[in-house]
Formats: sequence, C-alpha cells, structure tokens
Amino acid sequence: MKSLKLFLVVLGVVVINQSFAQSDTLQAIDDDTLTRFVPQFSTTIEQLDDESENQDVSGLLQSSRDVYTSIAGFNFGVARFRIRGYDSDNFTAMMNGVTLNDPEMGRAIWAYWGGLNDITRYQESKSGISASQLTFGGIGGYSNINARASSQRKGTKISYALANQTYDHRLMFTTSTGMMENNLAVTVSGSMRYANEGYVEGTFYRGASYFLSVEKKFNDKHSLGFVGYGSPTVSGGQSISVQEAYDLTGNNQYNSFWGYQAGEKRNSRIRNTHKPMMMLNHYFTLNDKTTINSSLFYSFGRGGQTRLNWYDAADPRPDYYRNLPSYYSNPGDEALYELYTQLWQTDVNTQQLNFDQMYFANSKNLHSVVDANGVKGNTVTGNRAKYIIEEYRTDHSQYGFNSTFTHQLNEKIMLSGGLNGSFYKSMNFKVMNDLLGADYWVDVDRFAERDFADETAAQSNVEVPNRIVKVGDKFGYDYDININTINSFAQAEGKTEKIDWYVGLTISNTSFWRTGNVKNGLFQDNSKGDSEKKSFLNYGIKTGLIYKITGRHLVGINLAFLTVAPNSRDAFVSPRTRNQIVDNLKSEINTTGDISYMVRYPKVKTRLTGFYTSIKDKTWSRSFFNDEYNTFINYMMTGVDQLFTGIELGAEVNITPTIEATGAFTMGDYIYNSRPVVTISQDNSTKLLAENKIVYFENYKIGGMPQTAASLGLKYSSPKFWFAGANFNYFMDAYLEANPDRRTEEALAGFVSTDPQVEKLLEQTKLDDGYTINVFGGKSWRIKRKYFVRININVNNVLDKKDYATGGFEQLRYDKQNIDRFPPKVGYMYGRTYFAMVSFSF
Amino acid sequence: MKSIQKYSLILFSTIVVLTSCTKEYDTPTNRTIPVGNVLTIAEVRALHVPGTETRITQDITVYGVVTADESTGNLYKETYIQDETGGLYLRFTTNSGVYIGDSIRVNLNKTKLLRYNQMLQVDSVHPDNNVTKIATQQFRTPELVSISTLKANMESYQGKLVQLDGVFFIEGGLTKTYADGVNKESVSRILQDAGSNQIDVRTSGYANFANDTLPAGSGTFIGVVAQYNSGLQLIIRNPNELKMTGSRPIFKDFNDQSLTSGGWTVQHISGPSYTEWGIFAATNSAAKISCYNSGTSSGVASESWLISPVINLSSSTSPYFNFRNVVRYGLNPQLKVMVSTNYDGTSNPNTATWVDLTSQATWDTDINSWSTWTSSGNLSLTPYISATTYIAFQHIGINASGVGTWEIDDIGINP
Repeated sequence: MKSLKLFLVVLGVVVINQSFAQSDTLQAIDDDTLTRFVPQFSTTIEQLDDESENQDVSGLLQSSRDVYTSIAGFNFGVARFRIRGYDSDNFTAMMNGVTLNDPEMGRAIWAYWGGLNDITRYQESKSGISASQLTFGGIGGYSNINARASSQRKGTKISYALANQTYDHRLMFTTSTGMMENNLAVTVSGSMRYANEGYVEGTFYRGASYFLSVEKKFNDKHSLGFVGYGSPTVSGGQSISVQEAYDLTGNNQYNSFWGYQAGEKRNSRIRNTHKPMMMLNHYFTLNDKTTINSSLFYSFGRGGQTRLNWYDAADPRPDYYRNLPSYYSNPGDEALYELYTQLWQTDVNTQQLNFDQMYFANSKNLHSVVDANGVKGNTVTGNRAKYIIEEYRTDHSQYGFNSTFTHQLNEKIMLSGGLNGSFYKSMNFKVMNDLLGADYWVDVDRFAERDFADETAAQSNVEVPNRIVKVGDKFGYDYDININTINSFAQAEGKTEKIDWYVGLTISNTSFWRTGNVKNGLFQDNSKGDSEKKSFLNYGIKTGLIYKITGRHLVGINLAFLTVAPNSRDAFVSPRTRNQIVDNLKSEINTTGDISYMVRYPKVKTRLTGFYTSIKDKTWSRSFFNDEYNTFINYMMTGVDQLFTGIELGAEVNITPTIEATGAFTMGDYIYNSRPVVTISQDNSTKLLAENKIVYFENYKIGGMPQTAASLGLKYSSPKFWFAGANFNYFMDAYLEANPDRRTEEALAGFVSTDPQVEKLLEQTKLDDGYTINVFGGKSWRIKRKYFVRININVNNVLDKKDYATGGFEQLRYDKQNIDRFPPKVGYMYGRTYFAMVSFSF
Repeated sequence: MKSIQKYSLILFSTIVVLTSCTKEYDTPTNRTIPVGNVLTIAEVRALHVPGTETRITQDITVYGVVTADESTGNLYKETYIQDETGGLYLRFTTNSGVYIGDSIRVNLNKTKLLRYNQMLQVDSVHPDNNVTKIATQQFRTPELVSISTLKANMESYQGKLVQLDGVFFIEGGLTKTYADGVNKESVSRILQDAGSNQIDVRTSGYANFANDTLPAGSGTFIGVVAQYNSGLQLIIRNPNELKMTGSRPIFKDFNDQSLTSGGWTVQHISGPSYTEWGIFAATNSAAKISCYNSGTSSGVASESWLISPVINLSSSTSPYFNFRNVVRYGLNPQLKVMVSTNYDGTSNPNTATWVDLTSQATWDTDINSWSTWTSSGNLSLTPYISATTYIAFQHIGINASGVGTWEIDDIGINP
C-alpha cells in the first residue's frame, strides 16, 4: 500500500493546470488589463493569425493561461516552432464547439478567419491531452473560439495598426451591444489589412474580414444564435530558394516569385481565398445541472493560388537551376559563369521574373491547332501562349451539425459528451488566370505529349481533345474530394480534495472518396467517376489526473491512446489525374503520455513536463513540382513512425509588483523511427518512378522546426498605465526535412561505403542556431472616465539578424553523384519588424 | 442599435470597395523584332567563311519554313528550315517552340554561324528574341532523291527535307530499335536502296520512338539531311511518315547451308530423296537438284519445288528478280522458274496457279563444266504485282538417260 502511494506520488498525478475543465478556462483577454496575463508578453498577439502561410498552431494558443505554451506561442512562432514537434493536424480548432479544421489536410487554416482578432482572442485553449467538454481533441490540444454574441464584451473598439510585415496597415472595428433589454445581443466586427508591398519585396496584401454574431435569448432555457464570418484575402507570395540565390542577391528574403511588367512589380503567386462560415447555435439549459448546445453550420468558398506555367518554352523562373551561375561551373563554361554571375548581380530581369519578355514571347507565337476542341477539321489559328498564369483552385462546401451536453451528476462528477457530423466536398481544378497577351492555351500536357507517341495520352480531357483554353476556363484537371465524418465522444471528470481526474472516450467514422470530372488521356480507365470509397473506424481513450500535494505543489499525468484516420490529402496517388488510393492505407496510431510538476505561488508559477508520444503507421505524402518533368511528383510513404520525446519548462516570476520575469525552455527529440515504404509517382505519367522502396529513415530528425528552444523575458508594468519589456529567444537543433528517396538502397547502389557520395547522400543537414530579441511597450489613457486610448508597440528581432534559417527541405530531386547540384531550399527569418497599434474604445 | 447599424454600414461598404479592387497590370508595349537585311538561305550559307566561327552582329533576316521540329523528341533545341534556295540547321538556346509548317522569320543578330563536323549551323538562336512566326501549316513537300544523288551533292542537300523511295533498313526485321531509349543513347541505322547504296539514319535516345522496332520492309523514307564529317545522316521527323511496309529485296545465296532460311520452302512432291532439292558445297554454296539414279545411271520420275517466301509487291511499281544457274551432264529435264499470286505458302504448289517464266530466263547450256555460271537476266514481276506473290523453281524428274544436274544461286528479288 505504501509503495503504491509512493508510486502514485512519483508518477505524479494529473495534469497541467489547464488540463481540467475548469469553468474559468475561458479567458477573455481584456485590453484593459494588459498586465494581467502572461500572454501580453507576446510581441505578436495582434498579428499571429496573419501568418497565414505558416498556419502554425502555436498561434492558436495565444490565450492559453499556461506559462510555457503562451511564451512558446508568442515567441517561437517566427522560428516555425511547433509545440512538442506535432504537425498542426493534431490540434483541433473550434468556434462555438464547431470544428474548423480543414477535413482534407486535417489542420486549421487561420487565414480563413484572419483579421478578426477582436473576436478570436476570446478562446479557450489547451495544449496536449486534457479534459474537454467540447471535444475529445487531438494529441496536440484544442482551442475553442467563443463567438457567442452575449459573451462579447460590450462596447466599441476602433484600432489602427501600422506595421512592416505581411501588411503595413490594419484598420479594425468591433462593436458589441451586450445582452440588450430586448434580449438581443449583436456583435459586428470587421477589418482591413493592406500592404502595397510587404516586408518581402514583391509581396502585397489586401485583406478584408467581416463578422456578425446575433443572439436572441427566448427565455432562461433557450437562446438562439447566428454567427457568420469571412475573410476575403488576396496576397502575393514569397518563395523559398537555394542559398546561391540569396548569396547572389545579398538578400536572405530574396523572392523569386515577382518580376516587372511594364515597369510595375507583379507577383506570380497570388493567393486569393474567401471561405465564409455561418452557423446557427442553440443554447439549451435544461436545468441547473444539464446543458445541451447544438449547432448547424455551413461553409463554402474559394481557395486559389496562382502559378506560372509554360508550354514548349524556356523555364522563366530566375532561380531555376539552369538559370543560376552554378549551372555553368564546369570547366569550359567560365565565361558563362561570369556572365550569369554578373547578370544576377546587376540585372533585375535576371534576378527576377521578366513578364515583359513573356508577353513578348506570347505575342508572336502563331500556331494552328488542328481538330481543336475535338471537332474534326476545326483549325484554330492564333498566338498560342508560351507562358501563362494559372490558378490552382481548391473550392469547397461543407455542412454539418454539432451537439454537446454537460451534466453535473453529483457534486463530484461531471459528465459530458457530444456528437457531430460533417459532410465536406472540395472542388479542385485549374482556371486560366492570365494568358499574358496570348490568344489561347491548349489543354494538353507537354511532357506526356513528348513521352508518348500516342497523342491522346497528352489530353487532359479526352472527351474534348485539343481543347482551346481562354481566361476563366477550367482546364488541366478537375476532381472532387468528398469526406464524411461522424464523431462522438463522452467524458467523465471529477474533483476531490486531493485528486482531480478525467476519463474520455471517442469513436468516429471517416469515409472519403474522389470523384473525377474529366477523363485524363493517360488514365482513361480510372480518372473519371468515383474512386473506391475508403472508410475508417477510429477510437480513442484518454485519462489524466492531478494530484495536489499541497495547493501550491501539484503533479499531473495525462495518457491517451487513439487511432486517427489518414488525411485524404495523403490518401490518393496523384489525385489530380486518377482514382488511385495509396496501398496499405491505415489509420495512424497515436500513443502519448506526459507527466508534469507544477508550482503555483502568487509570485512564482512554474511547470515542468516530460512527454513521450509515438505516432505509428502515418501516411506521409508530398507533392512537389518538378521542373525537369514539368509536373507534380508525388511521394507517398506509408508505415511512417514518429517518436516525440522531450521536456518543457515554463516559469513566471513576479520579482517586484511591477517587474515580472518569464522563462520557457524546451528540449525535444523528434525523430522518424521506422523504415517506411515509399512510392513515387508523377502526375503526367503512368510510370511509377519508384514502387515500394524501403526508406532507411530510422533516427532521422523530423525537420523544419527547432527541437530545442528557450526564451527569457522581463516586463515592467508601471502603475501609471504603461509597460515595457523585452525578451530573448534562442533556437537550436533544427534540421532540414530529409528526402526519403536518398535514404534507400537504390540510391546507394553502385557506391561502396567509403565513397564520399554515401555520406553526402545519407547525412541530414542541421541548421545553425539562431536567436531574436524582441521589445515591446504600451500605454493607455482614460478620457472622461468613458473613453480609452491605448498604444502598443512591438519590435521584433531588434538586432535585425537576417541570417537565421528557420527551415527548409532537401529537394526531392537529387543527383546521386553531385548532391550539391540540387541544393536544399531554405527560408530565413525576417529581420527587424515592428507593429504599432493605437486603439480607441468606449 | 442605431450607431451599430451606421458603423457596420460604413465598415461593410469600405470592405466591399477594398475587395472589389483586384490588382490590374498594364500590358507591356508590344515589341517587334527588326527585319534589316533580308537574305535567302543560300545567301546565309554563303556568309560562312570556311574554318571560322562568325558572330552575327547586325540585323540580318532569313525567312524559311520549318521542316523538322522537336515534338517527337528526336530533335532537342534545334530545328531545320528551308526555302527555295536550300536548307538551314538552327540550334536554339532552349526549346525552339516552332513546329513543322511554321513559316518563320529569323533575325540572325547575336547568333553564330559555324560548321560543326562539316554541318553548317546557326547557333545560339533565341526562340523569343530571334524568331517570329508569320504563318502556320505551310507544309513543305519533301524532295524525292536517291541516295547516290544525296551523296554526290552533300553540301546542297544539307538541312533539306528529302524523300527516298524503295529503301529499307539493313537491320530491319531483326527486332532492332531506332535507338537506345533505355540508356538514352543515339544510334545510327543503315538505310539501303535496291542498288545497294547506303546512308545512315541517326536517331536520338530521347526520341519517343527510340524503342520502336525498325520497319522490316522497304518503301518510302522521309527525313532531313544532316552531315557528320564526310558522311550524311538522315534524321527522322516522325516515324509515322515512313511507309516502309513493302517487301524489301530478297537475296538468297545459300551460303548459310540452308535451303529454307529466310522463309524459303521446299515442296518435294514425288520421287526418291536424292531427287529432292539439296545444298551443294560447304563454301560458296548453291542449291542443287537432279533426278539421276547412280544405281541405274538413269533418271527417275520425280517432282520437287523450291519456293520463295511471300513477296509483298503491293507498293511496288516495277519489281523484278534474277538468279544465276549452271547445268552439267545433260540439259534435260529443263529447270523451270514460275510465279504465282494465289499460292498460300504451305500447300502442295500444284493446287495454285503458276505462270511459267522459264522462257524469259537465260540458262546455262554448257554441260561440261561447273564453272559456266550464267545470269538469268532480270525477269519482270510487274504483271504479277500482288500482296502475295511467290516465285518457285520446279524440277520434274524424267525416267531417261542423260539427265543433267542443275544448280542455282544468288536469287535476287527486287520489289
């Protein structure tokens, strides 16, 4: 008995402070009380959601009360840090209990509700496995935005922000009535974000957002709410490139995506998204013990990303390897090497895209298409486009329901549960965005055309061969992905003097299939119509407890075992062209556990956690545009096992009533620990480039994020309503994501172990350490006891360090004999940036 | 509520305004390539000073029609153009982007004129900066030539589109491919005409037909003419243009000690085994037949046929054949040569209709020597053009004294 007690103590019970379903977890972070919570330490609280490209979950945790997660969320984001190394699809984002994660990729995409910071800051967030009355959650945790009108703070706020990051200007407006005498509550919010040119040259930003929440209280038992929002955004993209391009331009933010057109900068990669969401919420309080909240939701909209394409013409991308001096590094090419180096250093049309030249090429490419549009004898003559801008569209529609209940069984035990269903369909196709002065494009695949003597093989749509494509026409590919999920969970949680505990269960069903809308010339038998329907039954169990040694010292433990259906995005071999499902597709198996020790004094709050997570049978899929084949190359690995172990330490110390110090530290080891099987296909060929190759991936690091990071911060809060602070962040142990194909027997074939190529092929690049110093400050005024004016200023990376590579990947294309021929692509952290905001509220 | 409505109205209208303005870009001003001096292809070719590499630094324009393009992958960053004065080989900095039938204007400024292994070429042509397409589908008819004419006029045929009739690949029918598409290596195959003139056909390992089997037959070949040092190489534009389905010339010399190799058959209808067709001599072999019975020193009755493989003459215009023969010991029985267009290749030849051509051939008449080989002369097959023409040698043994022994050799059939 004694030993059991000891065991329990040692194991430590329970959870991190936030793992409980405390009623006060829902934190409305109030600008009035800027000094109240750790999160204000953030230098990025106002901008996190704008990092739409990263779609990093860490930002979701902004209002977490947990010391560690809040610091990590605010300060490590710039280094692409991921809490515990998890992919963001392990994190559930919700609004009013409705899951917002994209069913196809599994992750939540912040850009869809970007610019609504005044609303999204009201959220309940928990990291890792925890108790929740809203969802079973993923191993990464969850976050729920409370968009209920009656919960919004009454008042009106107008703010303007000036920045030099993704955007330069932001105007935001929010007003909430609170529950009015007529039992109606209304919240309206909207914002505009704009940059003619962002921090990175050639980028721009035009975003708007709108939000409306209305709630009608019928009686003490019933309230009905409506929420609708959207965030139409158009922005120009930033590339990541090879080191040579950064060196030649002397600019680590070199962006190969833009070029001049008639003297004006034009970006070739424009993201244009608008995916509105609307929901009806019914809040039902049966009695003081039981509540049932139910929602119906509908979401739809467009996702678009433009890209250059070309037909029978030179690759226009400036950093294409043949357009770089290094391509001419062979003996005899010295003159060309010199020429290209010089051009790269002096000629903007070499450094960047040259739209004028593309227009020129298109303007005199007279061509006749015989039997155009599949009509015999129909010859179309005109300038055929050599270069175009096409838009990859991922439109969607989704509807569903969600219902959760809570029931206080007795003083000690609370029951909760829920059921939700989602019916999702994405529409994937290309649209001609700009013919760059030409008359038409022909809907054929250049590579297939050259590779196969049979002319039908090259047709994107054999039912309309030699189709003439004009601006606005769909072409290339056209398919739908359908995903239906039904998800249920149940939970019991309890509280005693010494122990808080919970147990949760989930069971769900996911099914998905592809519907091809065109018959592709290469895959005539399996491109049109419905694919096989894949169905996965998944379940999970979680439990945790907190043992209160004293009220100040607590030990927590959380355990979970769950299976997760593979993401449909990973499930299809080349979905753009065919109905082919990856062999051996399985649910992944997640096993996770963490143990924490927490100290809570008024002046000192710390948490130390050790965690262990295993993800088995993951399907890993990447689709890369390969310039040699001028098509997408698809890598599909199955049987990928990952192991995440590490510690987290967070501390918050009030040195004096006005000076607060915070610290966060994590050291992780995130690795692959299996030998997966890889199959490599290309969109425009029936040939598999590789089939069932064994990848010797054990002990390779999971790349793309620092596995070790630390942060130290100091903040002074004056009683006279101003504050200032700084923090220092250090990042290390980041690796480039490894190319699986290089770690196969086939890649090493022909070499003996002493050959230098072997080590080159196998080694994984570790990135240099990096650090940032951020400073921030603010002041608020109260005018006539009624109006508030506040100013906030954050300066990130004060030292303007521009040489920290935050991530990248080894190119999937490689030359065995000369690995440096296709060097990795890396991205660098921004230099000094600022964000200054003034707000006015009443 | 009122204030909210007001604010929201203002807000939403600004949002609408903002989002409705997507970025618009000006169209760049249209540029055209200057024309300058216009030269014919022959004049451009004449610009080249032997032994030099000329960088052209002024606006010189040449017009031509594209006669070969990269669409099959047999050409790479290169093309051939032609006008009334000749052909010209252009090498591009990237994909040419021009197609057969395009009528193009090429400004030669900044290109180089040089000879590479004797092939005159315009090098470093930029597809956008040097080339303007002015019309399409101006297909040029290939010039019908013979291999010997090509070889005698290499310079004037360089870069031109030509057609050869009655030619075949020596390695055709042996399941050989145009090139090595697996290792992506170029291969030369030899094209031959009825007069045994030969010329190389060079195919890239990157051509999409590299791994296709060479046509086995004889017929029409179309390609462009390239020169490599002192020899010519023909380049196929598209194997679909090759109509090499006719029977290639058949030549039977029996040196492989086989009567039946190459699809020949022997039909022994009657008589003892020594009256059947056989092989004479281990070297310089020939086919031999006799009805002489050494036991009785007399002939015996017999019937034995030596029959050609099927000859497809459907695409022939004036086919003919010939052979050599020698006879000894006696002129009788006379060996007969016949032709049929309804034989099936396997049955008793007497079931088919045969036309006797014996009288049209020249036969040896000296019965005292094996050295008096006599050429039959050309026997026309024109009256017997069909897809299933056979020729046959028929020997009818007779029961008589003084019978002879016939030998035939070097049977040549020219479709």
